[in-house]
Amino acid sequence: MNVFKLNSQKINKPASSKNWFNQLKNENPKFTSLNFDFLVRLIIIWLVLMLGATGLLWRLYQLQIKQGDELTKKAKQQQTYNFRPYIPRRSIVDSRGNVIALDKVVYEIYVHPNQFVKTKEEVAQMLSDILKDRDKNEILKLLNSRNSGILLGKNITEDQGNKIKELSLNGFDFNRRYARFYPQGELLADIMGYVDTEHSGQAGIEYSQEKLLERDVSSLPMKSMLTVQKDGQGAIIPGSLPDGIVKLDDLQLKLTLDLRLQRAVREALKNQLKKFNGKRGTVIVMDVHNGAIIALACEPTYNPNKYSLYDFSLYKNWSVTDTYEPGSTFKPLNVAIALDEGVITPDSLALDAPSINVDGWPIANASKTGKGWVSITKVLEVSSNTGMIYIMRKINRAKYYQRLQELGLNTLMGIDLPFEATGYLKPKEIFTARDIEPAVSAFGQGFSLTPLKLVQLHAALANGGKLVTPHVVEGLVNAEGELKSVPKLPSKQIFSESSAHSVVKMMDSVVANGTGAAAQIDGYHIGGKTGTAQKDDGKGRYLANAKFTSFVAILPTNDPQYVVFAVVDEPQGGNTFGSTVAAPVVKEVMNSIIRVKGIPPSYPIGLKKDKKK
Amino acid sequence: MLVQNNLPSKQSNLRVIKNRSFLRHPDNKELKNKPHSLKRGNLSSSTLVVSQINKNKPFWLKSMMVMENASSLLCYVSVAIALVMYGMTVYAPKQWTEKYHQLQDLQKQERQFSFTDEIIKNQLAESASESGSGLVNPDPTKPPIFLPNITPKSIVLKSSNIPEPKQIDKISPIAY
Repeated sequence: MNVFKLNSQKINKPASSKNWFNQLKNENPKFTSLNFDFLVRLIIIWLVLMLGATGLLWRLYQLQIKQGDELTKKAKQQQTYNFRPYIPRRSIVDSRGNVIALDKVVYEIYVHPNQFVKTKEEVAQMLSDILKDRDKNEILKLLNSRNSGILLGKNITEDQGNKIKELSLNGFDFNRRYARFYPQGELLADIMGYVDTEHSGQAGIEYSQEKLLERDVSSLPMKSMLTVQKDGQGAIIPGSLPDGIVKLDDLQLKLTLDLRLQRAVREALKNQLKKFNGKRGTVIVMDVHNGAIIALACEPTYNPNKYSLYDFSLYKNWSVTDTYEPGSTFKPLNVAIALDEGVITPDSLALDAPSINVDGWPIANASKTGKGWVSITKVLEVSSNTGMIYIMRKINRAKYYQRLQELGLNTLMGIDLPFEATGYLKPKEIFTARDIEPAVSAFGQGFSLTPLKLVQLHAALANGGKLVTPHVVEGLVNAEGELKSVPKLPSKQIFSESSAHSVVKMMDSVVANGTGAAAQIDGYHIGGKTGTAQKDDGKGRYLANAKFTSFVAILPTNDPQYVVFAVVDEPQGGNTFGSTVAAPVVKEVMNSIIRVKGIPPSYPIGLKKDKKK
Repeated sequence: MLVQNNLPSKQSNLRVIKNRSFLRHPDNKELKNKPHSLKRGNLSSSTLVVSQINKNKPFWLKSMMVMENASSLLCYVSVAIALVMYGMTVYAPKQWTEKYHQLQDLQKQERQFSFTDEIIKNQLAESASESGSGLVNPDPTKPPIFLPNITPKSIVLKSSNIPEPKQIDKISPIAY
């Protein structure tokens, strides 16, 4: 309220306020000089500010327009950083979690002596202290060879590379890259394959499972180099990184293989091949219920860590890529077909003649003898060719051909190893035209298949007639060992369960009383079949001295779990048959399986095997 | 507006006086009486003014005052957030780079561990297969011992037929 009063006072005394102004003017005689001073000061301040502003503008012009481009370039150089994320190929582990393939970091180092600050002697001394396997004089010689661009080493280990980096010498170029390493060397070469210097798989599952082994983020631009932004202090700004670049999953590719068994298998095969001076050989162990390959070895083989030192023909896994004529090992499968078709029963008799004539071709037994009318089991026990022809003739040719096709002889199995070959079955018109074709097929010749296909078919006998897909990849597992993704593995029934069981019983008798005696193991019911097949010379004739000796076994027949197959190509010497060359290998492998997988005996060890089984 | 501006100062003056009087008079009685009387005199008029003004304040003014308070509060909060965020943009890359180096170190260690582990395992297996290592393959004629797979019967405890011990009644001594 009194505020208003104040106002009213002001209104009432307008003159006095005027006076105040006048008085002020009069009271201060130096006003003009002060005013001038004030003005000068004001101008000086204004000038200073203006000059400052002009200077700033000038500098701004210099920085932004005159040197703009150059400075932008410099800034970009400082702010960006070539980021090489750690994206290795996935490791591969065996069924028990042992690492069988992993990525390691190596350095490729180039030296430019013309940029050296220190003398070449000093540098050579420093390098030889770090690279223990290199001599100082050798390095010095290398440094003297050229002025720049000298390759010091292509595979310098991560530790050594880091130590050289820490020396912070001038004139060194470091190229960090990954190298695939196989700790077991040649042990698993046929399955694993190898990766080339570009880090892409070239054989084995390294080639066929590239999709599973490469991570989602390992596309080419990501793998090479990423440009990211840095802040003023040199710290990387994480926002400029692509998603998930440093967040690697912990998945590993798990295989069905068992390293312990693989070792035993390779050892057994290697020794036998050496003993018989064979050209090549392969052993396959497969789980009959799901088609998982537990061990697979081919000899001779190569070391994937030094693949370039070997002949390239060794890179393929011939048990999958090459076909052969199976010979007698195919007889049990023919018997199963005959049982399925109802032309024989397990108790039927067949005529085992020393030799017969089919379409003008004389076909004899390997023993050149015949036992007359014998049981089907006996036909397999003595591996009679004429007996098999007697059985298979009962089936209509076209029907027999259809059954062979249904076995998938000339189709792919869908295995996860690369370069799978299909077997060869003659065209239907040729096969069904004359008796000779079904006759030779009855004892496993005249068509071809891969060793692995034969294993797949015998697994079908063992598991009650189911054709399972052979595979080595179990799936992707995380660090806790839980399976995260598994491959799809189709299966189909190709034999009736009863026929399959009957044939397995017959094969049991082959080992107990027949040609497979070399594979007997006390305490176990084992089914088996020998095979000694002639080799085709590629022109339609059989070679005189070259043969495939093979043996296939089912362990144990009372509860079939594994099929073991061994084949040796061109063994040298007189006594070379499936029973003498391949069967001992299979026996050794089966002994290992019994121990490694803990298969309990079928009957008390030491007791004579009851022959009724 | 002028009125309004003066009001709080008046009130605060009052408070000052009240406080001063409080300091000046340590005596309790004085303290009780003096400020009271002071208060009474001036307060009555000022509260009147305040209440009148509060009453007279139009709605738009009131709402604008609320808005003013709210917006200034919002301003303080957003400044605080901005400061925190700025701090984070400076701190985060540094932290990230540090952690990334740590990750790289750990990855390197992991690589080296698994590498060395497998090398050693392989060397062991290879040296075992060499002759003269003192290790031999198990004798095939003596296979491992297999125990029959029997699921053990769970032991059922027989219900005990032993009668529970009788409770003996306490015999209190009786004097005859």
